[in-house]
Amino acid sequence: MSDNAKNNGTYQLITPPNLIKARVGAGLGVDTELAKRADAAVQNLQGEFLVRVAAAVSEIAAQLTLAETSLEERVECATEILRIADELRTQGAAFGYPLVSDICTSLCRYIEKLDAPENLTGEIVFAHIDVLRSIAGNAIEGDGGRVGQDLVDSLNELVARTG
Amino acid sequence: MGYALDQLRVLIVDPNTHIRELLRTILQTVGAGKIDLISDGVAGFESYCVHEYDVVFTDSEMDPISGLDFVELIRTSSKSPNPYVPIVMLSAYSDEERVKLARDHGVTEFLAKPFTVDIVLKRLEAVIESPRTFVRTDSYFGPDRRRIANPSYAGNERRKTTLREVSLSRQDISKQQQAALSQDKSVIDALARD
Repeated sequence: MSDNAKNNGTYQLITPPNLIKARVGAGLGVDTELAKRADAAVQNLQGEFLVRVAAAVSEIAAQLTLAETSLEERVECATEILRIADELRTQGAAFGYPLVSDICTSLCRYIEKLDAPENLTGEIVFAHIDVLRSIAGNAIEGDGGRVGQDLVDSLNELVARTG
Repeated sequence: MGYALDQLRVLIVDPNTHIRELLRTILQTVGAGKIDLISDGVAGFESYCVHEYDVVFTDSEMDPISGLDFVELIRTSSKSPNPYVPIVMLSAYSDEERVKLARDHGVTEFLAKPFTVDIVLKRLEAVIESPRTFVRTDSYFGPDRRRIANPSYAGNERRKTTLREVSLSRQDISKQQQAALSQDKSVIDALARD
């Protein structure tokens, strides 16, 4: 590496050998036919994502039912709902469902800003998961257009008022 | 003729199983030979020290060490077998501040979520075709953070163009979908009024 290094006293510029280029050969980019196949494979995974959204909605609803049983349960349920929502938030963006991410961001914010997890309010959580259910049931891709964004604004306002 | 990717060994470090699988699906389908999936930066670095990777994809938000710490280990640890490896950082947060922070920690390319197959492959092609010169100073070691300035360039900033492309690629929703969301909105608005 030192042969390729230039040192001017305050910084050193190094040109490492292009190992990855040497490994993949002289081809011109990724094979376009294979890239198309990759697109198709990802579309299959996107379909599976909606199944996971529906499962997550059921799981959150079950946690809410459990939360009604005792104060101690409510603390654990709030933590679990936050975990589920946070995971969906990350996945939604990557799988082409940013509206799911927006809804889950709002739900996470609601739980994170609770003074105490026992103050968890079922109505507000249900307001979020009802939207998730609609997205999964109607396969709403993307950001949901203007209606979707108005809805996110309403949720954000609702969460802001709970502070 | 496309690249011969079957000899490529890729490391993917991301706490989310589904994101790891998504990336693996893309890279495997285009022919990447060996792909290792790891859920955290500590195990990721252990694997990095044992195998000879050609490119690393890592998430920014991880425990017990962050993606930035993981990148710093690869770049500066005495145990690192190759501090020059191309590193692509994935993040759901693509504000300028985060991108700058990633760059200052030695990231080669930044990949904002949501990503498409096309964008992932563009990043892969970028690390193959446009290797970065490395810089060592008292306080930094990593790819040269300066982009070549082109005074005659009159187009959009690259990041802005990418965001615009993503935004335009989204399809608007159908009337039936709008009706479903509008119904939910009415319930939320009523709740907010109470």
